[in-house]
Amino acid sequence: MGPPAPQRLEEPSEAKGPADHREPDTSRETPMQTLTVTENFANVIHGLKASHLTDLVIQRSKRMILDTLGVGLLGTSTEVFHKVIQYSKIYRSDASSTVWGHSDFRLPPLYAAFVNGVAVHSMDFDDTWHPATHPSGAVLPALLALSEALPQKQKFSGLDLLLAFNVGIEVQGRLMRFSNEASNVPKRFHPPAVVGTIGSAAATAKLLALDQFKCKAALAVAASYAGAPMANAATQTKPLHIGNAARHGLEAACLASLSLQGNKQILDMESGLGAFYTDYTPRFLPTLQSYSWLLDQQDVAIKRFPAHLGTHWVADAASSLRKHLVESDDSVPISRIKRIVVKVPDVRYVNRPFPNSEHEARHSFQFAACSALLDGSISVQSFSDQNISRPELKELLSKTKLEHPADNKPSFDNLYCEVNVTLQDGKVFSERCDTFYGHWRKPLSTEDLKKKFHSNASSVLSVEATEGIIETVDNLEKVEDCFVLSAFLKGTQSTKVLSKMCLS
Amino acid sequence: MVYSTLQRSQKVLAASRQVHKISAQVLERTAAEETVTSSFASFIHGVQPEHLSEVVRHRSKRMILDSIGVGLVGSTTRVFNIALRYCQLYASNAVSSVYGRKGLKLSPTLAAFTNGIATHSMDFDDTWHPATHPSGAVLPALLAASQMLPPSSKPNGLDFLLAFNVGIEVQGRLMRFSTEAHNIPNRFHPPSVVGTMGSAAATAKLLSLNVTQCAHALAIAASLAGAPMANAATQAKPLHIGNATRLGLEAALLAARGMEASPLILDDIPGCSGFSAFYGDYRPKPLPLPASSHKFLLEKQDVAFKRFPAHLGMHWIVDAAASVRNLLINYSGSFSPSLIRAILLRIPVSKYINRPFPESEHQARHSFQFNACTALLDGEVYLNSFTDGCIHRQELMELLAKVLVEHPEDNIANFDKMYGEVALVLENGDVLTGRCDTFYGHWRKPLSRESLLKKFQSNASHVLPEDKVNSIITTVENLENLSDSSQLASSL
Repeated sequence: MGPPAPQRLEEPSEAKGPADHREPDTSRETPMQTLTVTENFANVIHGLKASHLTDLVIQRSKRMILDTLGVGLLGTSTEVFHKVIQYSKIYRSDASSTVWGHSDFRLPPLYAAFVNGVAVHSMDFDDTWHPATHPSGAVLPALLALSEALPQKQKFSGLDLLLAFNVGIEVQGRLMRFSNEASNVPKRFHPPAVVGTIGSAAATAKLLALDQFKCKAALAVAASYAGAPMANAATQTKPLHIGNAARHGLEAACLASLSLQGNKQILDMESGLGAFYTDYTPRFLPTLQSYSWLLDQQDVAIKRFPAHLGTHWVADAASSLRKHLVESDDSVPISRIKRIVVKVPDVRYVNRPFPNSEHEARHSFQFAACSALLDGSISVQSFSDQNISRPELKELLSKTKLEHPADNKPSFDNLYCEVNVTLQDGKVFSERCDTFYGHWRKPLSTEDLKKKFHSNASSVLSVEATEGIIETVDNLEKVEDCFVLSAFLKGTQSTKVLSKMCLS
Repeated sequence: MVYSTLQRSQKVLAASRQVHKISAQVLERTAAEETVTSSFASFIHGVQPEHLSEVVRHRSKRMILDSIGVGLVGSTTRVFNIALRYCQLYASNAVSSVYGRKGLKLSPTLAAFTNGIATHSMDFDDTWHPATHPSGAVLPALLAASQMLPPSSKPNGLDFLLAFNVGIEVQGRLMRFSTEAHNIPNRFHPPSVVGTMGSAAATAKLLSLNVTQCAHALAIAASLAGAPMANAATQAKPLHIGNATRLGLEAALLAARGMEASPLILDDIPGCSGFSAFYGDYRPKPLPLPASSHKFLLEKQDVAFKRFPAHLGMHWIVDAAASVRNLLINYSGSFSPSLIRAILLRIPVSKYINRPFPESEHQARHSFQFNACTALLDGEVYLNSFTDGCIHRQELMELLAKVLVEHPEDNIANFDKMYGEVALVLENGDVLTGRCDTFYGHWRKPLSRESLLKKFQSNASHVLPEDKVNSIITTVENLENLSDSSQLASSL
């Protein structure tokens, strides 16, 4: 039995009395409950402590942190990252924060958060949650950037970082539960741009130890930066949704710490965060006395290759099916294939019969099916220009069509993929995937998670730095000063840095 | 350094990509022809100074002058101060001027941000129909950008005026894609939606981006647009304009460096929203190409300039209150609040400007009740009517307690159609009524040149000496003859 949803709090109309306070019937509320959902959020953000973190939450969130770092490091080799770097260098100054994988220059925290956030989402390789968003990329870059920017005497322990990180994740999850619309693959606003911005603001407010009023203001100001339309997904601009979420949330919290104020009921009002949803029912958070984190009940999915989550079901089904087709030399006889049918939910922006760029290829059910059929699995390399334009791939694509069975819902918790291949001689093969490896129902093993990180990070960092990050994150709650993490991320290391990893 | 990277990336043109079908069900389009998005890009790219008519030039110069004045006075506000302190953290590549801070420069987008905030900080800036605040979202970006470019390629005054009008025009066109946009908004604050797009378009124009880059600037900007109404009437509202102008500028700068985004951002694609995400009903229309005689919207529809710093709706009720105040003075020899039993306000329905007892200046600027009572007491509303002292005056609180609000069905929440009526029900039963259909400053009854200059002088002199104030007036009134438009920015 959770706390009751508050009465809808609207602007005053005919009533007399102070304009600012619309108080619902307080007689049924316990002393711990607050007047508005917004205030409640602010209180919880402010009041959560490290002791509230459970083991499971710690473990899962560390995996997320590790994965996110690896994905971000790899992403620093992308074209989109390169462009935003060029842009952001305009703001180069004597400030202060690390650009992942770059020791040659630094950026002000705002822009470090921006570029690193872009890096994280640049290849669509970052984590995905349910209801659907990419939670970590909106939060981690902001926290790391900020942690380096504050005056010397102020240092943050690994546990501070971990707590703030989880506040940012938790807030995103809670906000998404305010709307039924959020449970399905989105059509209007890209979720990271909506809840990610608020999450980043919450996490930053936590790290800065803002008081309740300023926590509330951070949420309100962040709302005015939130939101980006879906149409830019599957384009080069999509990664900016995460980069901007990180940077704008950070900015909102910084402005709040300078006493800027916004609407104190931002989460309560339909004209507040409700503006981004067609159905909106805000709810209170659990009491701090026994806080239950969403991450405890619902893990994220970690991707095995850099493409939209929906394509992971397709890849697993197609890989299984390939085994029926493969010849002795491990090749697939393309000419023997007459027709490929891929049964997936109806998700327009991942439906691309002939993708023309890496961004489109990462958002194409068809491409995933044909790539996996050809190669047995999909990897980072599958999206190179060369591989995208292979003639054998195009031939397979021309034989592929999608079907949308009525029972296949566009929800990452429920969807499935069935691949049917019909050969010229009439034989039909069929394979189905309900849960791909990496999904929250079938999480990556620790070994495979580390393997993914290794493979990603070593594209820009040395072995020592790569190992250093793995070890630091593994023991994050014991790290005294999370500056070491940023030092490894920069890409140069010395024994001096390694010895600064004070583990108690 | 900035410009050289800009030049380099302009030379490396992105290979044009064929627009691909997003799904089999979507109508087939090609990039060069029929899309709404490409028509916008073509317009932005192709429109020339000669397309500006006399009326458009005249009106837009008035807007520029007013906007600067409003920004200058706005640089004395608290919200501006917070934003400035924040931005000074990032003081590098400081090339762009800040309103009212001689000698201080910030990086272009942050200068645009602070100046945009200054412009909207007191809700004193212009309003258009359909409703948005068009100039504050565009001018700061252009001023900042003009200072970014190297001496050899500074845009002249006419280029500047053209770019400004592109930014205004795009905003107006976008608002006509939705009938929802005609009324006072209740979901997204329009400047944060269309303003961001306008700023991107204007900057793209000033920087002479090619057609493809213009399209991408719009699309990138869409991902930076949109702030909920709930922050209107709070201290954060000015950020909506500050961010619109800054982020639109940023979008254009990113597009100049080759960033790409959706080529169909303005078109209506079912199942995958572009710009349509911000509206309940959305029917995009292509812009006519400049080859034919393009009619700028500003030609047919002027803006309203405010006489005092409050939400536009307040201006009707203030004029109505002033007139009924005169009636009461004629009736009883003086204005005596004790004669009044009740004050009836007949206003359109709009929750965020209906506040019986505002507690802050931001709320007071968005309160029919407050503005009506202030006008009843003082005869007019002034810049300093919103100070803490005035907001909490005893005599004002007494009047506020007598206010009742009515929403006649024929009073539509629309700046073209609404009216304001104030009825004083006296203790002896008599009723005196004042009504205003069109306030002075509305597009149907525009401010005279004298009044506009008076407002500018009053505002600007808060932070600039008299000779500077007058020279800005001269510069703007002769904008098309200016050879280096960055001089405007540096004079602030």
